Formats: sequence, C-alpha cells, structure tokens
Amino acid sequence: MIVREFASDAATPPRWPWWCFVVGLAFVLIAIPAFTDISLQLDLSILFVLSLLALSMSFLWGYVGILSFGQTIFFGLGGYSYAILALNAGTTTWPFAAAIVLPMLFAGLFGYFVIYGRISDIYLSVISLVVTLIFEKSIRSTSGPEYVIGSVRLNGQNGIPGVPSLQLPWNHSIQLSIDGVFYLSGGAVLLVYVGLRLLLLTSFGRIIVGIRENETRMELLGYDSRVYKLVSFVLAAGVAALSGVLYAVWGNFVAPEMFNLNQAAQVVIWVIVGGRSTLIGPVIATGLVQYFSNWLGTVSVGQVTLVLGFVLLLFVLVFPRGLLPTIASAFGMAFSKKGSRFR
Amino acid sequence: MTAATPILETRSLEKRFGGVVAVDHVDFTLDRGELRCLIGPNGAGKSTFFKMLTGQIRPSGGQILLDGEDIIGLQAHAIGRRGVGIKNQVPVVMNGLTVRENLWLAARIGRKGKAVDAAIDAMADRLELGPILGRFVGELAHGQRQWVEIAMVAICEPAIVLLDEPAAGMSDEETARTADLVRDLNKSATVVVVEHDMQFIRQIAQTVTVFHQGRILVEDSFHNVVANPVVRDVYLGRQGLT
Repeated sequence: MIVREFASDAATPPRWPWWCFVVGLAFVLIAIPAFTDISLQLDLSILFVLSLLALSMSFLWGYVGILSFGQTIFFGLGGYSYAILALNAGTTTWPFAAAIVLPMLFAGLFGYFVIYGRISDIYLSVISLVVTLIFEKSIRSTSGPEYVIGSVRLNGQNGIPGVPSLQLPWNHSIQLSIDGVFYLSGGAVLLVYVGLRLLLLTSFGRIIVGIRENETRMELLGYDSRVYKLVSFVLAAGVAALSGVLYAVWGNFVAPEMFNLNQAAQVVIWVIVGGRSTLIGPVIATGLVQYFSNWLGTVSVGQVTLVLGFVLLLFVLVFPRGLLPTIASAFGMAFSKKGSRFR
Repeated sequence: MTAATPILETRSLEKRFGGVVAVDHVDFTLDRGELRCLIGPNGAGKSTFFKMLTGQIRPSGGQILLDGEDIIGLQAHAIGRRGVGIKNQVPVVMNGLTVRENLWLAARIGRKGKAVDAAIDAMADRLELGPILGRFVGELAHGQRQWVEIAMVAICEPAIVLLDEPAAGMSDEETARTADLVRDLNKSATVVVVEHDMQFIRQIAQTVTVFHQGRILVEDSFHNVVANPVVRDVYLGRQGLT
C-alpha cells in the first residue's frame, strides 16, 4: 500500500515507492534552477529553510511526544551564533558547524533540567515558549554600543545585518550564489527528511516511538526514557539550529523576530496543518501556509494573522489528524477494500 | 545474600497521600519460587503496594529489599532491569503500535538479533497471539490487550512477576487459560497476583495475603483464609463469595 510508505512509525523499511519519491524529489531539486528565475529560487530556498524547522518540530512532537513550543530557541540561537562567529572569524566553515553545535549544547543543558527533572510535557511546552520569549526580549534590549561580542554589535531589535554568505570550504574566495543556497537548503531538507525517516527504523527510533505511545510501560520494561528523550531533544535542536543558520545565510541578516511568539506559533501551525504523524506532511504544510500567508498579503486582506488563525481552527476541527494523513486515508479508503490506516 | 534470603521483602513500608494512609507499615516477605495471591477490598492498598515495588510511586517510608538490597529511590526502569515485571490493573501498552512491535520492545531487553524475533514467535505461540501479531493493540478487545501486556512482561523473563487483576474482564475460558499461564510463569519466576475473582485464586493459590485498610490482615493458605471469619467479614462476605 503506497500510502503506508510514508508512515514513519510502521517500523518497516521503506519500499520502492518511497525511494522513488525521494529520488524523484532529488531530480526535481537539481533541475529547478535551470528552469526558474532567481526570485522563485529565493522563495523556494526560504521554504526549505523553514521546512527544516517544521521537520525538527514534527520529529520531536510527532515521534517523541514532546511539544517544544519554543523550538525557535534553537532556530534563533543557530542564526545568531552563525552571524556572530562568522563576522568575527572572517570565515564561515567552522562557524557554520559551531552554530549548529552550540544550540545543541544549550538544548542538552535545558533538556537535562526539564527532562531529568520529570517536568510534565505540558510544562515543558510552556517553559520552552517562555525561554524563547526571554531570548527575544533579551536581544531586543541590546541596542546600546556596550552590547558587543568580539567586534560584532548585537544591535537590539534592529538585528545584525551583513551576515556573510557561506564560503566554499575548500576555496574561501568563492561565496555561495543564490542557486548554491537553493541547493544547500533543498539538499538539507531532503537529507534531514531521509535521515529522520531511516532513524525511526532503527532500535533508537522504535524505542522513542514506544516512549511516545506509553512512557510508563517503557520505563517498566527497563528503558530509561529520559536518555532517549534528551537525545531526541538535542537532535531536534540541531535540525532547528541548521534551519536558523541557513536562514541567516539566506537573508544575510538575523533579528530577534527569529525567537518571537509569532515565529514559534507558526512552527506549531505548520505541523498541525501537515499532520504530526508524518514527517513529510509538515514540510508540505510549511509551503502551503507560507504561500497562503503571502497571498493574503498581496490581496490586501489586512488581517492576515486573523485569517490564518481561522484557517488553523478549521483544520483542527475538520482535519484533526492533519492534511496529509486525511488525504492519505481518503486514498486508502478509495483503493483498499479494508481501508487504510495511515499513521 | 543466601539461598534463604527472601527474593522480596518490605519492612514497615508506608505510603501516605496527604492525610490518607494507603499502605500502612506493611511487612511482607516473598520467598523465591512462590506463587502468592493478594486479595482485599477496593482501596485496601494492593495496587499502591505494587506500584511502590516497581518504582512507579515513591514510598513515604520503610524499606523494599530485592534480593536483600534496598531498592527504594531506584527509578522504575532500574527496578525493571533488576528483574521485576508488572502487569498493571489498567492495561499499560502501546495502543498505537502493533502487537508484534509491543512484543519487540519488550523482547529486546537482554536479547539481540534473531533471538528477539525468536522470543516473539515463541511467546506468540505460547499465548496464541499469532493471528493478532500484525494488529494495532488499540483495536483489540480488553481481554486481548491484557494478554499482550502479560506477554510483554513474560517475554522479559523477570525473576518476579507482579500481576494486578490479570483475569479482569476475561471470559471463563480466558480466565482458565490465564490460570494456566500463571502456573506456567511460576515455573521460572516468583509470582504475585492481585485478584478479586476467588474462583481464579482457588485455581492458582499457594499462599494468600489479605490486605485491609493498607495493612496485612491475614496471611495463610487459601482454605484457611476463606474460612477465616475476619476475612469473611471484611471482604469475602461482602462479595458473597465463600
């Protein structure tokens, strides 16, 4: 059954339809710059970047059962770390890696206290949201000239402009062009998607899904759920940080808005709309929701946020499992006598 | 630890929830290889007692000695790894996963590679779960979910098996099969069963411990317990069971 191929907790290795899908996506990705203009490449690149953030959330929420409302902590930290390190160092290769590792270290520390402290999931959501808002407020209050790291002024709510584009690691004099950023962000989404999909098939992946399903039973069997949750949390933070770094590379700019409530809530919306029981659903939803938001902006609706909120309500009420699982179920019902259980 | 050391012992074990004493200074001894039944009215503290033994609830006081070693303060997973398995009163299973996946998560404790699948298949044969291995646990009937949970506990080959109402919601035939299974488990493990169904207890009991108001009221053979006027007054009489 083709739809089952996207059921990441089926614990069965993907078969040919899924691999065809992945290879097809890779070919489309490679071909796009040859047939499109720069403006579309830029638009698609930012969708890929944000899709990584959605993947980070859908993995953590959908497969580990942790709703980290403030996943933007690591998105923002990734972007700011890259900006500060790259501007100070005058090179981008090691700052790129360090800007992913640093948020992961912070996630390890934060996660250790909340997960080993047995903070319940709902409080973890609230605490992570509060932490991202603290980061936002703190950075907004760094407008003065005294807030300098190395030679880089933090600039408060104005953000840091002039963030360097990525240089080729083997030739620092060549910077990534627009199509280079397109390939990098698109390739990152594809690799992270495939990587997480395959990770869920490993013992580790099957155990975290078991923890999502029933943490008490897993503990009683002898699994220390805290270790698995913490590792997953750090891994998801790494994906969010990669998203933040690529965001900084894409726009050559970072700002406190990366941490704010609007950004944090959008990630949740992407995952709810796409369906958190899949990895690919939230990626598709990121594109749809962003496109819809942009369209609302161009037709002068005015209250874009209000309309988006209404759409989200509609989705929660009509498609509680999300768009992709609902469509897949409909296909399953149509093509299978027994119906389909798309998970 | 010597051969005479009880496999499990509690000393003055206590659990208070605010002003309510759920388990009140219980001294309980379980010898290796025993099949013990715990009975008592609802609210007598049996399930709380089980949850303390498995680290799900932290006791307010007292000691729990597993093979002579105090395990109070250990996390549930550490107690599980030391060979204490439990089937809770309400099935604690992964409803969103298949029966096979549930068993896999249990079977890989202490096993690797093909031994895991072999253990799953052997347990499925033993409990006749073969036809439902591919079904999602959440779609199964209550009795089947209980069997899945018992299978998950048994597949880990624990030294002590705690079964909290294993026959609840089962048909007469399923209850009889469960009694066979409990006796079978007892061949390789020490087993403690909490149950209200006295017919079921009659089939399996060696020694019966009666809980009442958080304390051990009586501990004796099945026939002596049934004949005990105090037990009849506080528990059996109310059930209409003799």
